Amino acid sequence: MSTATGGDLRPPARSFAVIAAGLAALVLLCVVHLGQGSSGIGLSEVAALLTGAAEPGVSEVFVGSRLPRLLAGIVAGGALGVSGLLIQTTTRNQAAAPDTLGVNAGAYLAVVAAAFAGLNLGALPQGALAFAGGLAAALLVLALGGRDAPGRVILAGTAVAMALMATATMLLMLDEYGTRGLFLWGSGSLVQSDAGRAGWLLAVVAAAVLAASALSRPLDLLALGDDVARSLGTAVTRVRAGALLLAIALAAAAVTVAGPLAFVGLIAPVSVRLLGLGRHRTLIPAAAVTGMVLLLGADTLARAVFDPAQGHAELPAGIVTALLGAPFFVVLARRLASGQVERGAAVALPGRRRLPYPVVLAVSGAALAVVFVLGLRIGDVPVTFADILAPGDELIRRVLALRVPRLVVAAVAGAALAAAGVAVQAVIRNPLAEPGLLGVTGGAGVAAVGLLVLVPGAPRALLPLVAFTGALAALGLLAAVAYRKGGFDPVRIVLVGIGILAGTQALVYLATLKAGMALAAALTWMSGSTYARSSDDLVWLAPPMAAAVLLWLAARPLDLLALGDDLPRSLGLPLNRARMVVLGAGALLAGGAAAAVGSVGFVGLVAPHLARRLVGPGHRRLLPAAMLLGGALVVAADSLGRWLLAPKELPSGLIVALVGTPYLIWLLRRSR
Amino acid sequence: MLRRVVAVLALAMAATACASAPAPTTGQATGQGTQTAAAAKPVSIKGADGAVVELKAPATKVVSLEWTYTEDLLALGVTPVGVADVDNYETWVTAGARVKGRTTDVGTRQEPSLEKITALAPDLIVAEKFRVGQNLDALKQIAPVVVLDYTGEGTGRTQYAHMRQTLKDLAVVVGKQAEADQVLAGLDAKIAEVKGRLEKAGKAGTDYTVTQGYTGENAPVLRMLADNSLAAQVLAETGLKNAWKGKGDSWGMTETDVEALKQVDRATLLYVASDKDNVFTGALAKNPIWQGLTFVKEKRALPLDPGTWLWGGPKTTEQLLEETAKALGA
Repeated sequence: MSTATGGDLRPPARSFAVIAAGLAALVLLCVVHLGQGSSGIGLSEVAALLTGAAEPGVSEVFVGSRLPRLLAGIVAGGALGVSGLLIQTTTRNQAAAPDTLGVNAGAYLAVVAAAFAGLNLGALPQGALAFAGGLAAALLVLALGGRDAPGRVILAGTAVAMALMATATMLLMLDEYGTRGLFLWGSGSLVQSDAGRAGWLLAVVAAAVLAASALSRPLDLLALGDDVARSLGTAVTRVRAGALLLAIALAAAAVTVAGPLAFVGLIAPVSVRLLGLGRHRTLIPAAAVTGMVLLLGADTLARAVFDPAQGHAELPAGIVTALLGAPFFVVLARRLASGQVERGAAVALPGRRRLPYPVVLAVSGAALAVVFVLGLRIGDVPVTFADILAPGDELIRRVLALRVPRLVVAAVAGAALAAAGVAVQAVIRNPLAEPGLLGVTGGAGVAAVGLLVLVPGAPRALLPLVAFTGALAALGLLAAVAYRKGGFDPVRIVLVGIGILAGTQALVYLATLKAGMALAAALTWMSGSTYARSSDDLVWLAPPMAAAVLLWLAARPLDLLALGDDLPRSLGLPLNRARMVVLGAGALLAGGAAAAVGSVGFVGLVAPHLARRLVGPGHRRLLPAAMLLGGALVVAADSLGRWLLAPKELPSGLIVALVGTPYLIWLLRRSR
Repeated sequence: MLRRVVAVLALAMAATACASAPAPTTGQATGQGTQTAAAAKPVSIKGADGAVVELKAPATKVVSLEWTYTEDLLALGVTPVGVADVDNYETWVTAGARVKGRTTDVGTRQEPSLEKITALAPDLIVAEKFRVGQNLDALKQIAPVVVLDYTGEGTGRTQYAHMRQTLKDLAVVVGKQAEADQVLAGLDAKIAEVKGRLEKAGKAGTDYTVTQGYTGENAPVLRMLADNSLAAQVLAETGLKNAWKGKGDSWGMTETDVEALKQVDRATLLYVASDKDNVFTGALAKNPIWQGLTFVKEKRALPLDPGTWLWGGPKTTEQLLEETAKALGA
């Protein structure tokens, strides 16, 4: 993608112009940024420090608050800009970045885990730990996705990032007080208690950027392709490994200072390339400056809109970068994804068939039945198997009356989520695709939260309906944006979906910040929980079940969708319409499940995959098996959630994510 | 990752333990009970959700799903048979009678165990409005539920007046009106006593700021209590003057950072911080802004007992008054 040309010794004037303009913008932003803060001490008072005419106390504010925050923005922004550039060059993938490759999430989980274990680390040890976490995540994703399939890598990266973030959330929930300080950090923020942390990591980042600059020439050659680079004497493997390690170190430094900031590491390098820069000698400083401008710009914007001097709560910079970055990513995805229609986002999967289909069905059905009965058995009030068969005692009967509807809702919702996964994967042609990853469930969340913000008095019964509508709207948006040049490219759908997901998350966060805790009810409801569900909630699962039956009847066209573009078309399948209809069914399934149990992830990923291993890829057989397994999974999660820490409840969504994470890693390892 | 945001918010509510984060409301609680002696007569209470709960006789087996109401019931001499979030109550609310070992823990305040509550067979459940969105129907299957709203928004009362009214309303349904009057008289006496002590010590009319601090993100977060908070209103009764002029949210607080203290640094700072996470002796002590604040230099940054709950009922309010008087040397 780079347009580097050899022989031209002087960087073009354009590069100087870009960097100079970036620096000018940076200086301007720094000045404005220094004038913001909750004490209300403005720019003129800070400026008076220069002339020595400042009022007493201003210098303390400058040293104790303004400067550390500015420094954090410069360190994290610069680090992310260069990190993203190095990742994009080494993977030759414009959509790759520390966040889309799971590096940020890996680093963040390492930091959270250390806090959970009670370790109180200084800036550098924490940075080292973040590096280890980021490295592990990156290796996993690259091992899975491969280098030459942009859509596939990003899908793997996002799935891994989602799993790692779910694990981090679980740790935070298990230890409410010890790791409390980290909780808002999950979105990335520049707030600092002193300049120490950013100061130490400034040294690390500066060293890493210098080291990267030393690699400028081989990196330029790398962009010409491995063979050309090799023939020109570049140690391709070593350069690539070195650049990736530097990129991960830079991302880890940014996470240590400011948490996992979204999209800065993606937008900065893409922008400088769009501005016509091609050689790493200039790309590296330009990406660094652009990263700083983006991050400080986001922070300045956040505080201009929610002025802390007016008593507004802090809006984390990471939310602003996500809100601005999501559309950018979507536009980028539209440009990027062409040319892979035949391969799709496919990950090769061994479709091994081991057991006869009736046996598989019987075993899956039995699994569901067993977890259901166990779910009746365990919980906060002791119930024996004999009680289940013949509930004599009034209390036992009332407890079972609480457990049965929950378990039924869990089973049906799990089946709907599994079917949604099957539908989405049929279109995207990738077993890592999941309705949650496409932003469908996120759309449900935005709609539910939006209702409560815009119509505070709205009855709670409307929430599921609105969530359902939101899921369909998100899908409509996905379809409208991803439809381009007369077709639905599966890779493009994935990337656009991931952009929508990021956007919906940021919107939900923004709404909750704006509306305060008034949204508590909506949020717990959305958190993927089967708590207090009753048979009334089954209403939301009726349309999804109908959609599942239709999908089963349309199993043959579903099978054809897996064959790429040309073959199904030659067999007379109206490809775009078929993809649209199947995706619509998927949204109906996911939206209905979201309306009933909130956003439970990973079921749509784990259950279909497991079923595929048992019965092979044919949809007529795959769908029922996946639905049975999905039901069993959510029933098990509900039961464990009621039982493990009783009388405390753990949300089923989190339990599924915890089971799903190792499974996903294993799946990804196997799928190579 | 919506799930993440969501879980994180749920966590925020539980973790910051500053619980009190209710939704705006339009309802109001009005006791319409009979007078005390007639213990077997029917009683009723109108909840913040507009529902009127009628009981044939005052409730004796009560489950409380929010700390404030746990404290109210204990002050009235009623030990609830079930209480939500017992361990954190013991940590954060140190005023009044203890509950650990004397009652059953029914789980978190946000998602209490419906099975455990069923097993307790209560005759009344007391719930907080902003928390019962999803489980209200299920709770009603177990026992009559009175839904209360801590903020008192829509009632036209101040938070302090609403706290007093809530206690009286609850007293009606547990048949303890005489005790409620006694408790409120005790609170009035405490206010008068503290007022007298402050005057005697020459501290009447002192400008103060009261705040709760904890570590958020990478840096300390301060919850400044505004004039619409119970704490500021009750301290005003003693003649103290709240220097913080920021706008409070529904619970009367403004969340901000250390810089904001510049605005009030001529006043006296009263602060509450947990022993495990004391930002005032930890991160802030090293911060140049903190070190330069007038009240720090003049040693007027005064700790209150870490278990002083700022969003509670009559007993925590008495504790706040006593702690404030002691901190000011009265």
